[in-house]
Amino acid sequence: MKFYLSTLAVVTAASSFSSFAATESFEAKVTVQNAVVLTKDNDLSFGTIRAIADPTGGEQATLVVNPDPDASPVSTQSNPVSNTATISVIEDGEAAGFSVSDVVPNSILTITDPVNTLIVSSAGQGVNEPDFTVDSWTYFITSGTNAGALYTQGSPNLQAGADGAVSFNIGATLSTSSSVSSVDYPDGEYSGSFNIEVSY
Amino acid sequence: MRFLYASLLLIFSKSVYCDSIQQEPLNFGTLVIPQNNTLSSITINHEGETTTFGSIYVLAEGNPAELLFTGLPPLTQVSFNKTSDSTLQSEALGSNSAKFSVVLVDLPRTQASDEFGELLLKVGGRLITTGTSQGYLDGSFITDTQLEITIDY
Repeated sequence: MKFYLSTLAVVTAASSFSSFAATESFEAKVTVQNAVVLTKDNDLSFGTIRAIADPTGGEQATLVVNPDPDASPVSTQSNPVSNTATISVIEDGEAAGFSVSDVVPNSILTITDPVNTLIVSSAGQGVNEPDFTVDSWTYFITSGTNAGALYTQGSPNLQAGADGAVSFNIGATLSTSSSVSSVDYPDGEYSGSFNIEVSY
Repeated sequence: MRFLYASLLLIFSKSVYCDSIQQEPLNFGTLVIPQNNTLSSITINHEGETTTFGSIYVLAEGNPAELLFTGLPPLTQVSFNKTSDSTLQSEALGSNSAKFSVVLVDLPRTQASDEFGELLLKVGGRLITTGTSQGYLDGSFITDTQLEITIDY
């Protein structure tokens, strides 16, 4: 019995000092979403116009669509003094509208101007027919932190609201052809596709 | 002699390792990283609070890892130590995208098991960009090797 008790004492001492170690592993994850969600609300329209191109392509008439939704008039034409090229507005156009969503709340975004600037007859451009060009893009912020301001390219001010959303309008200048042409603009619809980029 | 057997049995039953169940992975949420020119980081502490440094923005909050340990001795102090960190790689795009490194921070040094021998451990971490100018492509990133901790009790 004495032997049993001493053995028990040793075992008990071992138990009180025993410690156990184990290694456990687990995962980590993250999702990156650098792309912003850009939705076109409506296309840019220069309306219905009467247009004459300078046959030499030397002078251009222009038509500006203001991106400010409260602008009046929306479209403003400017013709060279010589009247070699002219644009007259029959029906006003409309600025394009875009919405940005799912961005970081209050983040500042940058707009990159479209590159492709040619507008041709939807029926296809015939031989020696004039085309149009579009450039001088302007942007008006319609919602978000700086709603009501023109977008400034040098110091970007397209700022999302606390809801991570912002919207803006796009205006531009339509110019008669700078290429040599020998026939008038055929009646009909003229169109072109433009890619706009909005990024952080 | 019968009493001795009973004592030995008690010791061996205590030496059985506890089990752990990953309730939640360490999730850094959904981030925007527009530039990777300099080191940036996001830290989530064990209470789920987030802080960022540099060019990194939070679109959706993440959460600390949650590990449930069972089969521990009741009401026992358990200590924890970090053994390995890891990297996060794009699930779909692999090396086309920059990787993240992730280190464990805010790991409780000790925590007591409850009366049922269970313990819920929350582990925070820090996600660090490479700052090498290679961009982070959109998508999910997961650990290529798992994070590890050791427990002692």
